[in-house]
Amino acid sequence: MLQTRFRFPPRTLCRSIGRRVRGGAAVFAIGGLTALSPSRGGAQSVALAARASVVAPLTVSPYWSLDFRTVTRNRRNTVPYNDVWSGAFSVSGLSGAQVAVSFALPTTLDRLGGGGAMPIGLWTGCHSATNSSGAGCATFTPSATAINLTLAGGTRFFFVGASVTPANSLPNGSYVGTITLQATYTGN
Amino acid sequence: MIKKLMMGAAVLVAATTAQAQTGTVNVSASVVTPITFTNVRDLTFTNVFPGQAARVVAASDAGSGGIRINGLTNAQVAVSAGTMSSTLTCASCTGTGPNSLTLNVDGAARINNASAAPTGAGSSAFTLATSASNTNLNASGQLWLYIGGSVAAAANQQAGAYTGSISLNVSYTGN
Repeated sequence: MLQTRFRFPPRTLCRSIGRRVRGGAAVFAIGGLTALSPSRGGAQSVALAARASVVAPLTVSPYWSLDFRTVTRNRRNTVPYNDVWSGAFSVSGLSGAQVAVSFALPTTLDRLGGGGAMPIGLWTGCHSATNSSGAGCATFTPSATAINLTLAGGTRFFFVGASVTPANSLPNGSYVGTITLQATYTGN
Repeated sequence: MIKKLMMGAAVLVAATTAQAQTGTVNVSASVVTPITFTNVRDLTFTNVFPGQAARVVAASDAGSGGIRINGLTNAQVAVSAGTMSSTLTCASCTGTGPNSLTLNVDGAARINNASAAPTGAGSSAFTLATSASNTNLNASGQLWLYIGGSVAAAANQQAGAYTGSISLNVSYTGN
């Protein structure tokens, strides 16, 4: 008797195959593809470039001292801002930037070694894009109140004058003080 | 003998036919236009003054960073930032002060689904954060995104050009 080697799949196997078919996910006919609406995901990353330009700090350079030389007692001795003996500074920084400039000014010149103080005041000044206190130098009154100005060309020159009135009783000697210019970018 | 063989063969054929079973399995695949990016412009901070208040660039400003997101027509995407701050560094600066800046990303971004402009027709506000916010690409599969931020330089910051980047993540939501 010829015995076959082919048998029907067992009942349990048939049932499990059927479950897998019924439980199948996204459906396509075999041999075709259909684009679906995009599934969640497909994440992509990108680096957006950023740049910053940091400006060099301001440079304040004092280069001339305000020098009254020999003064006369009981008289007002004045060095104008546009005198060759006036004090001078330069401020350098970003060309075209706005800066705020202010001064810390002495009220007296003090005698070296002590023993006397000479009042100083009546401050005058001008500022210019060139190293000249002549024509075109814009006048201003130096004080602790800042003035805003533009660094056209990147550098500005400041010239400072004042007056001293030594009292008759003031002893002989050398009298000194300090003028401080402070400049800061305004951010404009 | 032949008859027996034929009978056996007939039995064999009958058995094969009777035992044939068919079944189908499903095949699935999805084709999705990949998300790509086109750079519009860098986020740029000009003239950062040392020791001054932070330099701020809003998303609507000319210096804001811009990027175009490209993908599937009208698809919804989730957009997020990797972090809301990054570091800009200066490779060529010299001096004794710091040579890195912290860039704080502004969450008040701008998007435009009509044109490459942070303001005007088609533009709107968009919240950028490390958690994703959803928006839609336009009918051409495009969306423009503009980002601002701020940097502050220390009083002794080394002067020069600083560079860095902001990380952005974009993915389809499936909607």
